Amino acid sequence: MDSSVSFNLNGMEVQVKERMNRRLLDVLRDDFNLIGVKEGCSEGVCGACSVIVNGALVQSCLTPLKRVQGGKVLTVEGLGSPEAPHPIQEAFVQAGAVQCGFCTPGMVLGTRVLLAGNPNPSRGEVVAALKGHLCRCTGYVKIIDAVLLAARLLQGKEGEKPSPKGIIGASFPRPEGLLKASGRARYGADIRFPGQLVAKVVRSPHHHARLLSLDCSEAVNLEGVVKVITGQDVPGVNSFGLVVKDQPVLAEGRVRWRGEPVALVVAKDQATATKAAALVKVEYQPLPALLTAEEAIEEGAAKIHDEGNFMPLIGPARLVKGDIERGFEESYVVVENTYFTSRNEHAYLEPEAGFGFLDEDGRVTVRLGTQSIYDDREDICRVLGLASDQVRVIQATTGGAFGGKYDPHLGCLLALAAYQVKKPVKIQYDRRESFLASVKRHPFRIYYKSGAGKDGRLKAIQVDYLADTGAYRACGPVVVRVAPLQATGPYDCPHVLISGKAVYTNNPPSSAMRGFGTPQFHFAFESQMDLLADKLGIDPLEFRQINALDVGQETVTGQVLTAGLGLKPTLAAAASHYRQLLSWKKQGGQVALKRGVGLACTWFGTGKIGRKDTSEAWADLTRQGVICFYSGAADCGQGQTSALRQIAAAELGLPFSSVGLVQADTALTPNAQSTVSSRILYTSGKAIRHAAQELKSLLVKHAARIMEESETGLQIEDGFIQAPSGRRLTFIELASILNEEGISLRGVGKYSSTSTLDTKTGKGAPYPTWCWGTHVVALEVNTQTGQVRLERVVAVHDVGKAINPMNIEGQIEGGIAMGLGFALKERFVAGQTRKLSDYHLPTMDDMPEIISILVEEEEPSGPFGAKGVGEPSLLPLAPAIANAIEDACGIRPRELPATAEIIRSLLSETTGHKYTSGAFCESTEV
Amino acid sequence: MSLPKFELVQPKTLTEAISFLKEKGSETQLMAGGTDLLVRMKQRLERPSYLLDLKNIPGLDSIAENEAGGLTIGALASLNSVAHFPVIRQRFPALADATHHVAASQLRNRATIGGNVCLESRCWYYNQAYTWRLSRPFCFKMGGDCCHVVKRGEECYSLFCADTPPVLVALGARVKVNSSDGEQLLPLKEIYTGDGKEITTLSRAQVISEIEIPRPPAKSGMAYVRFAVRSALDFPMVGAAAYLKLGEDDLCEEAKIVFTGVVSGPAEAGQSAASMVGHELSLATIADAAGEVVKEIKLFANIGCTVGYRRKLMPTVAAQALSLAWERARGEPTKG
Repeated sequence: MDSSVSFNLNGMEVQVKERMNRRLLDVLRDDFNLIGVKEGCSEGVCGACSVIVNGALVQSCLTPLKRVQGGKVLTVEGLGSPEAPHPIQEAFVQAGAVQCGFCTPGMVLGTRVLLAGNPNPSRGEVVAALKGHLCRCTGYVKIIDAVLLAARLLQGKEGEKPSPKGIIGASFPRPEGLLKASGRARYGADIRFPGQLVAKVVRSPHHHARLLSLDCSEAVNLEGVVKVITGQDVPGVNSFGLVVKDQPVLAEGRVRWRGEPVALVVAKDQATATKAAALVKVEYQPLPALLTAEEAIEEGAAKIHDEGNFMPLIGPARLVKGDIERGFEESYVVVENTYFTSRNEHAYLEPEAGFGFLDEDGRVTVRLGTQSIYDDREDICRVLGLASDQVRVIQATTGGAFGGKYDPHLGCLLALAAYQVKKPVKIQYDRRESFLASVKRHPFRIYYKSGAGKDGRLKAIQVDYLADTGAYRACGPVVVRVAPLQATGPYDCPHVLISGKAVYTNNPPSSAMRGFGTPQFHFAFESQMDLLADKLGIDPLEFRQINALDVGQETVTGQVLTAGLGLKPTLAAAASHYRQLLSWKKQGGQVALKRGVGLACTWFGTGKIGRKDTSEAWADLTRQGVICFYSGAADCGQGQTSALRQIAAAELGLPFSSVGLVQADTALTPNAQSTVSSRILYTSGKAIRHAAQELKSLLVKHAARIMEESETGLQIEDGFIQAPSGRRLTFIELASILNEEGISLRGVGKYSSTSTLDTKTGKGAPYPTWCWGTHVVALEVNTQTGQVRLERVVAVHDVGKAINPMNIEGQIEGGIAMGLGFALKERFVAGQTRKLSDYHLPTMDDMPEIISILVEEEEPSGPFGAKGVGEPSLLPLAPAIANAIEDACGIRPRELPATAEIIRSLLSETTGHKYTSGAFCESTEV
Repeated sequence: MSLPKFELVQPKTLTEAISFLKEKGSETQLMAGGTDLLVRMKQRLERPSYLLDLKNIPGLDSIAENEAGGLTIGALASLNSVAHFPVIRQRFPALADATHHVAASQLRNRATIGGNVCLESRCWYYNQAYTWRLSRPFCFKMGGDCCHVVKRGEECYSLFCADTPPVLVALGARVKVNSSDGEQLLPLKEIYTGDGKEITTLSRAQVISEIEIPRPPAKSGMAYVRFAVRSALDFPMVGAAAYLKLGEDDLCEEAKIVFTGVVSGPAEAGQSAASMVGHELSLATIADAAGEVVKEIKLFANIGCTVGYRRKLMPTVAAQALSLAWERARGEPTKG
């Protein structure tokens, strides 16, 4: 039925001919290219697609176009542009409320509606209005701040904002902030090509099955289908993987997890591709599905891989320090427990999306949301059988990643599709497919036996773990190598024995996720610390102070710590808050609500282990006289876009705005490896600083020559070089003279850390530097329902020198939100968790008050003394919560997430709680 | 996720809508707010040829006090407009609370009370994409003959999770049902089948146009309390509506407890409520009555919660709702 719909869109009268009954979202995005309207969940629970219709906020993914006939529609683009931003958009950027930016347009419009009705909202009113908008990066604190700032700006109550003073240690808003807040930033799904095609992945609906046959004929014959690609069509090697290339791009012979790709349909549009995907006939012979690590290690269990169900480890099977037997003999108290954690989904607000195409020279080019353009390129080359000069990977604006977009599978699929059909191909996952297709956090079962002496000193720690690494290895081998290194906690312990196994299961591959295996161990070792302290009758804070690692002490691998040790200072900074909260606890009110206070510490090694951790960066003086830096580091929302610029500007002595930065394009930028391990600020920061130093000396050398001045005394200023004599040479003059001379100035900066971890003995210094921190949590447990509500988190982190405090706070607050989900709410069960409403991300209303305290123990090897914070911010929260729960009501959760149901069953003495790992209880008897 | 193909029909009057339904009812789905229906269409749980959009029918979204002092709410009234309607906030606080708890503000701008009353049930197996449902034999709800949630179950064990029906049932609301045969006023309670397969007894040719709630008598109180994982976005794990009427002597004269989120329809705990009638209320008698509710409602596990936990939650939530209702009936805060 042809009909046309007219409405007012961002102040313009528009008319749309509509045959298909599309959603308002599709029309706004496809017909009007309003890419600020984001699709995050497709079911009305994330808020990213919100637009204002006739003054009310509605979800455009649940609005058929015809419903807006005659109405007024406002999108974030209509509110303001980067050139002429609306005060709300400005407030979001100034307050640091924009990280990945994917939730920002919806939040901005929600703010607009709220402030229109209530120009002066309280924090509580902001939460009530916006709690239906999900954000995975910010922890919501700065979003609430931004709304309140916007309210003041709109009422003219806020004067001109003073620009940040100095460079290092100043909170510069991120340069791309307004682009994101005005809906102009282009994420993977927002790129448009004429004649673009769409690819859709056909996935296994079985956890484990033999692939008997694959019949694509019907799908190929559907009008609009260009090609159906199977594993047979992979021109190179049909396998990829970050550590070991064991995972097929498109399965052949066998599928090992529910969601594994078996074919790729390329068609003229999404609807045709989806329809054709359903026509691909796949004959499966279901095999027994092993869905927990326990099932997979049972004798006689089906073999998931030819080598059996144990994943081969890198490094020794046992990590030994001292003599564990002696350690327990010397112990006055011993605590023994087993802990369980569950599978987690990254749940970045932006589902995976990207484009593959052949550029003018026939080079396979992929533009997608990713954490590592170089790892993507490596696997694409392998899969297509091409040399690296024939493949280019560009990072699109990435809507959050947290380890999940490190996996190269999407890059491989995009490249394969583009290579096969020689046309631009888009792949855009919806939320369901994102949940199905993406890697997850490892569930762990961890046994701990810890002993301490009468004097309160740790004597012995014995650990044995079992990790569920899912269907393929992905980052698994490194996760189970890294995590145990940190299993003693940041404490001095003379006798340690750590052993463990990782097993394949028919779950989605477990891989990198914020913390990389260490959140699971933190939960266990910090729970053990409180139990030991309790047995010894020592205050938990004091117990940690007694055992905290200090200069000159040795970690389990024998690394002797020399500098940058911030644990004791973070404990000291947390102490007064801890005491204050203990008195808050005593003022408890209602009988059913029990108050508790808990604390936990963290340590986290920055950078990659077992290989050279390298970053390179370049700095140019362009012919226009602009100083531009190039780094392959991919920012996924964390804020390297400002922090790396600050490092560059500080080294050159230039204002922040005078430094350009090009990021993450394999054709333009040097290798910075991947945005993982909280390493970019440290390693790429150092590379940037080295590049700046080299460029600086080149600038001075050539300027001195041209100006006929001595090099000493020449000063680099904003746009020119100043000699003591008063003479100046502008960058533009310098650039043009050098151009005539045929000289181009490029500073090359390289940083390579030395990881000396021995694969045989497990000894050495795995990390160049460690980050430290302490969290104090105050909470209330409802003993009737088991629900836990966090009141306050005091997060003290040693970040080295804080380059950009606002970004760091943003990382801490976001880490706390994710830690809260890990601790209390989030569990991914393959086959059951299919959409965002099944997976309980913390909302704005779940967040406690957060007090972030930065301890700046400068790291001598870091850029201006800085190190990382992205992952450490998450790590101590879950155990601090567990410790506070025990403090509140005497029961201790040993399984995460400690859902209300688990807490409630622990509280009822009659039934108790049975611990299982990776519970899969899909069926019950009547 | 795109919508399947359909034709959108936007009648201007109820008569027009009804005559369309008479002709094409079997291929038609009614759309009020569409916030749940469109999601189910994306999942291909519904594939109607026609969507009959009721939004353009004037007056269907009105809210007014009727002559008897009760309330008449048009089926198309949005949940936000119900939650913010002054008379509802003052005299029907349980309904204001129930509507206010649904999902998120931007969703409540579209979602309607009529849609909430007819909300489809939910199930971890059924609510997923079509191709995934194909990987197992069809369940009752899909027209098959098994249930994947309750092994050997002989009917559909999906969960009814709507927030407003327990309140409306507890208050004795009636719904005006229009069809080509005329209009009928039915007690809301009677339209629910209790079977997950078909939530209501209404046929495809029928439309709920209005909901009528009688005026609450003097010395009565109502409350709705729900428990969910998060305060926003989630359906209730357990929701309980309570209604209490006190006599002149302050003894309990009438009592209702109705649950949502626990079985395949609104679930009334009639015996537990009746145990309070004729007695003087106290927190102890309320706790006793609430403690009995699990004995009269047979539970099953579906979506995010075991039977054991739901058994613990129901008395807690019911007791909270009853205490609040009692407080409101007396017009004073409860002591102790």
